[in-house]
Formats: sequence, structure tokens, C-alpha cells
Amino acid sequence: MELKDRVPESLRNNVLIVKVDELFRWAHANSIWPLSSGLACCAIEMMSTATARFDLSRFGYEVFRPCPRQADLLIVAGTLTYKMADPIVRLYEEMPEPKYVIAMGSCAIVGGPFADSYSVVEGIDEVLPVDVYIPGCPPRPEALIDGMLKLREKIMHPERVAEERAKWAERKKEREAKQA
Amino acid sequence: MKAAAPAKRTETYLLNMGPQHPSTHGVLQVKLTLDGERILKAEPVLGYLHRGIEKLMESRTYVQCLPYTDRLDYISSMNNNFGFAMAVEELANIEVPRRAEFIRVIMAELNRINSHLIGIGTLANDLGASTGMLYCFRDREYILDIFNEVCGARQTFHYIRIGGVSGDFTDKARSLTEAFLERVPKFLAEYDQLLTGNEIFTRRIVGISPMTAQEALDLNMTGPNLRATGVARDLRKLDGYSVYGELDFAIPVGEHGDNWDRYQVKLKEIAESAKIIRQCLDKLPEGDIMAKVPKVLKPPKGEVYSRSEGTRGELGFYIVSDGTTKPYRVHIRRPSFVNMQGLDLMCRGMLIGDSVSAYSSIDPIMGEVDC
Amino acid sequence: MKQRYLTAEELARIKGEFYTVSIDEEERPPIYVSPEEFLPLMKMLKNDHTLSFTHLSCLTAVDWKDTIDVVYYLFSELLGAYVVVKVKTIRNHPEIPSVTSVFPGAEFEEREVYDLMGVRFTGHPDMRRILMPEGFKGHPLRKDFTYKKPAPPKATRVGEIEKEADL
Repeated sequence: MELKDRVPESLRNNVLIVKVDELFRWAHANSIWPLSSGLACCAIEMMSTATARFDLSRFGYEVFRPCPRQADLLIVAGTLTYKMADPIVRLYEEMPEPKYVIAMGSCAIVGGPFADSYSVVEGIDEVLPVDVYIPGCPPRPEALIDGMLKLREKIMHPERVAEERAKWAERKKEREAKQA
Repeated sequence: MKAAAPAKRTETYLLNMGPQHPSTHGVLQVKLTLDGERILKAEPVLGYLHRGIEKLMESRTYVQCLPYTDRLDYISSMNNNFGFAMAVEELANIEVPRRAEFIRVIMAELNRINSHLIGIGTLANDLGASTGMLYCFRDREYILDIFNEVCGARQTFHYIRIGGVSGDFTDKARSLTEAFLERVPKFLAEYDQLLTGNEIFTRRIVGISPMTAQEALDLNMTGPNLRATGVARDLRKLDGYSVYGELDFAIPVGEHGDNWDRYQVKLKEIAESAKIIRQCLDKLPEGDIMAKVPKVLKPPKGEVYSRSEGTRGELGFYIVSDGTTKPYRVHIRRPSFVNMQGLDLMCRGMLIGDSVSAYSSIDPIMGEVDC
Repeated sequence: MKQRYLTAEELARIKGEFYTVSIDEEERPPIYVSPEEFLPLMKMLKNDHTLSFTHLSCLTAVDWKDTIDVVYYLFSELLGAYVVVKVKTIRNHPEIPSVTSVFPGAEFEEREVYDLMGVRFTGHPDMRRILMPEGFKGHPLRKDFTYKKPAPPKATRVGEIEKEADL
């Protein structure tokens, strides 16, 4: 006897049967709690996204947490300098699994207009595994919303995340070998 | 006889705030030395957003330098563009058309309102009134609509160029600006209801972190932070650069230099800026918006220090030219950076919770502090 | 906008009081002074009631490849004018007296000049780097500054990320 046959006849149209981890992923993908950590210019656009006109809460993502222990998404919004790189790694490590990273703006992707500066890290994927890249300087709030919806798709398909992180780990190993 | 009890003694301890802290406005770190709940010393640790803009500018042409000023103080980009363009124009002897000057002043004042709205909004948010922030950001969007119309960007505009402005002030922009000016008294009244008359809010800021005029002058502070202590120094009046000399506006000042005064000065400056924009719209002449600037700009040898009233105080650009297409040295006198020196004085003797309102009322933007 | 600088008579008066002051006869006349007479000159500029240059507008330094000039722009609301004071320092060992005893608000700016240009200010209350991290080598704004970007920090729990990727 299949599981759905056990449901009483009268309730059959009101019951959905899914796997537990799929249900969990579905819930997670629709209620991401981002860490409210802004580095530079993009942080202002991140704040605008959360406020009245763009209203990120339509998608259930408005619960910005100031503490990394309560957050599951790190939006790196702004230029990462070498001085700030250690704290950002630490913030990432303090976040509980499963966790995701969005690189918002060209500074976070490749260093942006400051790439040839002596103090700027050329892209946060040198430091952290990034799931979604949002180009722009700064990206408009619509772009951030689009990026978060892309992330939703990724959370629903964890095999894609795993594949990309494996590639990232490989790239990191290669880079370290080159530096050594 | 009982043995004498050991003498009670307390020890100071160090509390670290930031660089990741919800109320430090970006990546500011502050080391607080505490005696119980009282702050003995507050030492800001800067540099978490130091991108080396001054060095980068040495390897860019004058025209290429301009976008970097956008990212300096990223919520008052227009004022930064304005300051840098003025410095280069003085160096290269470029005369700006009159229409462009008026458009520049309109944009700079709109940006001042924008910046003060964020300042007030984040102050409210840091003290727990999230509604205040939502209201301020709602009204800010109407200003961004105007910027979007004239230059297509929401934040890093690159609109004020060397020799003029990049696009004309269209009829649509004018109607948007007029509609915004009608909103100004309405939303100011709303803030008065929401925040100014709110007892919880006022108790957190009235009489907190006071500063005398002499202390502020000694620390070279400028902008709303200085005016809140009662010194009516505003470079728009004092220097009368661009067309500010022809316009009629007042300089709002505070009395005690506490957080309340800093908040009030910002609110009143919004009203004054609206007045300036109104006059500019009425006086806006027809004509060119861009002077004839050579494609390859080579200012003569020499140096210039040109300052303007940014949203946070005296914004100065010191440029040394060696006669080539690239500046030999650029130094930016950043008002937030100099004003940060006041933090120690403002926090001293206050409670830990009050340090948060001190950061917010100084209103530093870390992109400008760290450069 | 053209700023007003000190007139020839006013400059001549300053020159009369200090031996080492020399004035470049250009469009914007800076006052060059030796490090020894620098502090007395600043005190006089600030406290003299006919000058009263009470606002230190800008403090910076320029690397001229053989010397490093420290530049001060002072503004007087009384005269509505600037005065530009420059001190030449030896590039290998740049050191001048700190101006914080006259203008307490110069503290951060002097630390910045030390950090980025390597000029030491004697008598400064807290002469440390302000923008670059402690332990950084070199002074970025010097013209001969060369720098190789360091390896970015390693996450200490990198292994876990990789393990997760193996899933």
C-alpha cells in the first residue's frame, strides 16, 4: 500500500506528500535570513531593497539578522580590503550550515574599479565560495532581488551547489599551489 | 574584632564594537574602555575600507578620476563630483556655463537632502525605531527618481563633469523636482510626529554627547556637527562658491551640540535646501550645459586646494599638477575623517547604549573616512 | 572659485619675524619654513590677532622624489584668506615637529600622513598607522612604492567546505 492510499478519502485533495528534506529545502529557499553586513556603497542599495519601494519581504527575505549565528546568507556588498578579509572569513565561519554567499557588485566580484589598488582583494571568491554573482556598480535593487531568486533555485537543487563548490575548492587548491 | 574587609576596587575593561556591528554604519571598529557601564575612552580603528583612492588617482587622467569621487562618500556622490570638478576647473581655468552652475546646485542640494534623510533614518533605526528608517528611505526614493531621470543612475552618478554637467535638466526632471518640493513640508511634519515628539526617541538623544563650540573648533570639525554647537560656519555662505552667493538661505545652528541638536540641524537643513532648490528652479537660465573642455585635458603646472560644503562638512580637494594628463598628487580632505576625532570626546562619560547614538549623529560614511 | 591668499605686505611681515622663511613668488605663494622654526610660525599664525588663522583646512604631504613636502593650508575667517605653509623634509629620514600642540584636530591627519607617506611627527601623542593594518611594510603614497599583493587569508575550516562539496 502506498503512502497516499493511507490518507482518508475525504482529505485526499488536501494532502501533499513530499520527502522531508525537500520540504525543508522548500521552506528554507523561501525564508532566507541574510546577515546585515554592509561593506561599502552596495550596502545602501541593499538597505533600499529591504525598504518600502522594493520591499524584499514580498519574497520572505527581509529578516536581516545582525548576528552571524542567526543568518544563513552572507551578502558581500562592497569592496573587500585585506584588512577586512579576516573578519569576513570569520563571519562566514560563524554562520551555521547550510549557508550561502552572494557577491553583490563588481567590487565583490573582481575588485571593480579598485582592482589595481594595493589594499583591495580582487574578488571575494579568492576567500569564500560564492553562489550568486550580481554585476553592477552598484546593482539596482531589482538586480539584487533577481539574484536572491536565483539563489532560491539553487537552494532547491543542492547538487548544483555541491558541484560548484567542488570546482571552487579545486580552483583554490590550484591558486595556492601557484602561490607556493 | 572583625578583620578589615579588603578595599573594594574596580577595573576597567575593553569592549570591542565592530567592524561587523549593526550600528557602526559600515566597517567602523571602536574600542571602548569601560568602567562598569560608563565609557572612559572610545578609540576608533579605521582603515577597513581603505581602497587607496588617492594613489589610484595618480595613475588616472583627470576625467577618469571623477568616478572615484562617486565612491568616496557614496551617499552624497553629487557633492563629491561637484567638489572635484570645481578643483580641476580652477586648476585648468575653465569657465562653467551659468545654466550648468544652477543645475549643479540643484543636484548638490537634492543630494544633501538625500544624505540627511539617510542620516536621520539610520539614527532612528539604531535607537530601535525601524519605522523612522522606512519612512526616510521612502522619501529618498523620490529624489533618486530625479537623479535617475537626469543621468540614469541611482547612486554613483558621475553626472557633474569637468566643465559642466553630462545631461540637461529636462522638463520631466523639473516636474519631478517640483512634485518632490511639495512633499518636503509634508514629510518633515510626519517626522516631527514620528520622531521629534516621540518620548522614547527624545530621551535617547536630548543632552547625550554634548560638545562645546570651542571643543568642536579645536578638533577642526565642520559641517552639521560644528553647526550643532552654535557656530554658524557654512562654506556655501562663507565662500559663496558657484551661484550660492546669489541665493537666499539661512544657516540653522544648534545650541548645546548634543545629539538632539545634530538631529535638529539636519532636519532644518533639509528645509533650507528645499528653499535653495526652489530659487534655482525659478532662476534657471537657458543656455549651454557644458563648457568647451579639450579632449585631452592638460592643466598647467601648479597646485590647487578647492573646498566646498559637502553634506558632512568641508570637502576639500588638493591637486598637484605637473602639466601632464594625470594629476601628480591628489589629497582629499574628508570631513567624516576629521569629524571622527570628536567621537572620543562625545562618548566619554556616557553609557554604552549612548555610544550608538553618538556614532549615528556624527553620521560618518566609512567610504569617506577610509578613502 | 578663486581663493584669496595672503598679500605681499602680510607675507613680508611674516618674513621679517622668522629667519628661515622663504617665499616662492608664484601665483599661489607658499611659505617655506625650516623644521626648527615651523612650530613658532604656526603658533604665531594662529594666535596673532591680526591674522588669526584658526582653521587648519588641509594637511598633507607630497613626494617630490628628492624631498617630501608637508603642506598645511590654514584659513582665517577674519581675513577671508588662506596661508600655505610648506616644510621640506629629507626623504630618507623625514621628521618634523607635530602641530597637534597648536591644532589638536591635526591628530588623525598627521597619523594618515605617517601611514601613507612615512613622515614622522615628533611630539605626536599616538604615532601609529591609522589606515593600513599594523605590520604593513612601506608607505603606499610614495612614488617608488612597489608592492606584491599578499595571499588572501585562508579560512581555517576550509576542509569542511571541501567535505561538504564531496557530498
